Amino acid sequence: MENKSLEINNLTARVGDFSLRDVNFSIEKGTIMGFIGKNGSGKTTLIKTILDMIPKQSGEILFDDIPMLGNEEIVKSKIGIVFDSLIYPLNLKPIKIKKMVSPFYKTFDDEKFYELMKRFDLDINKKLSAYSKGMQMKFGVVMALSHNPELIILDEPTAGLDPIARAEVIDLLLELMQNEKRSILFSTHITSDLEKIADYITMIDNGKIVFSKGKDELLDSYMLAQIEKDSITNEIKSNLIGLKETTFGYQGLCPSDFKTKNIVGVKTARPTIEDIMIYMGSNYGKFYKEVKQ
Amino acid sequence: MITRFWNYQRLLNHSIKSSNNKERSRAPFFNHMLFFIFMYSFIFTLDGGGIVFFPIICTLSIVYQIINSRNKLFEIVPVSKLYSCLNIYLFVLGVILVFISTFVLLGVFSLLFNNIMHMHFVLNFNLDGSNVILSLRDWKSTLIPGCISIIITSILLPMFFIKNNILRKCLTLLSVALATISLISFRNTLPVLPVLGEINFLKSIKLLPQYNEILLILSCICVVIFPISMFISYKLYKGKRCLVS
Repeated sequence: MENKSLEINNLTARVGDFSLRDVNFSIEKGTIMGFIGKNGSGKTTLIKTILDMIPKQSGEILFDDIPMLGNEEIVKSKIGIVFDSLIYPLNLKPIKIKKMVSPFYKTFDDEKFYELMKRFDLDINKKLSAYSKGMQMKFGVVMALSHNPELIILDEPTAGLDPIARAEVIDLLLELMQNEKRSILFSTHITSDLEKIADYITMIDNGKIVFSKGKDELLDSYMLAQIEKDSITNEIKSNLIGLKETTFGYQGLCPSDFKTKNIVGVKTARPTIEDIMIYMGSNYGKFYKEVKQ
Repeated sequence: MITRFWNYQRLLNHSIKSSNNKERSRAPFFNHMLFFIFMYSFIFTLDGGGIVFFPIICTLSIVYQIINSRNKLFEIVPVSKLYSCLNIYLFVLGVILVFISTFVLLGVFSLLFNNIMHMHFVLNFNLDGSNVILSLRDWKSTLIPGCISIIITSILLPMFFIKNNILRKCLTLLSVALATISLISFRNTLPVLPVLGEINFLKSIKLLPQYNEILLILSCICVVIFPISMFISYKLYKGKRCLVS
């Protein structure tokens, strides 16, 4: 219990027609949790529910064993948040925003703020409206990190960034992880970012957690199989997740314990997180059963 | 302490503009609609005297937008919900004061302008400038509408904290309608002006035979209702299951 920076138990929430159902997962201290799922799967809704911006119907959310309700001051001071779009008013200069926000954090580090602004090549005296989308996102990251949070929640922070800026952000996050108490929840579509930094991967689909596993364990659990048309059998088909027909035959994801070595015309490879996301996304029901097993 | 308070007020103020493009496109249609219904029904049914409610209507419109925006800038900083709630009420008072000060300045400017020009006319273009000047000259007639404004604010503000969208909008609309009907009914009970032979909302108020008694009752209601309103708002903001789904 003590080693978890975020713990979510049986969380249920509803926004209009969409609902989060029975969400359970946790983030250990000193780890990075990659949070994946297709558009509209509930990633941002879950993040907003975690942050109490969307009211929960039932369940429990604990930050370092402390619930948000009634402890907003303590909990929020330990969290750094980057939303998928900039929350700060565009007509203000970063220096003014810093002056406005910093008095609320005992741990706000002015030096760090200026250092990060310099590192990301951001002008503190330029209005945010004059920043590009990528620069605005970088500023969001700077503001989220300047008070040395223990838990950093990032909702698609690299979405509008070019590869160089993305690499800068990823490097910065890896640097931050030198502090063993710090944890990151990193929601993204760019799964290659997660290949580099994530320790755990959680996938959400239609408001329900599909899996929450160690990255290596997840990648070791599955194989990407390519089967020639003549070699396909009903038994193979039944073991493939997200079966797709291609010009050369069939392609799909199969459990790593599925014996394919002796089958002629079947080639396997280690999948990427993106492969798992793509194949699972289209075959959630079947996959969910397997993960449960 | 004061820095934090001042910065929180600034965060609330900037919360109106802190929305991204997606948010802007979903603009507060309901909010604007409410503002126009409220404002026009007051102005047209209260003989132009509804202008004294202009500050409160504008303020409530702004606060509705702040409380119910998607990106709540004021919620990102680590403060308790009680602190946020108290600051929202203080923000309301602050904005009302700004509006009243603007009105006073506008009125003083109009008076000075008239005197300087030695002309005894009032601008018939502005938001009924005659009423602004009247409000300034005859402050007594604005005390009752002032108390009514506080009561309307105290009733509407907790509703803005209801998280269930449909319930919040229905209750707000209903309250606005009831407030308008009540004010029209109140206007019809006012005495007829002997000179004009008709009722004028602002001018007739001071002719009320029970003016002092009504003012005393309304003041007492204000003293009681305002803290109750704050308490209910806090409870709703903290989250009540039946009102958040």
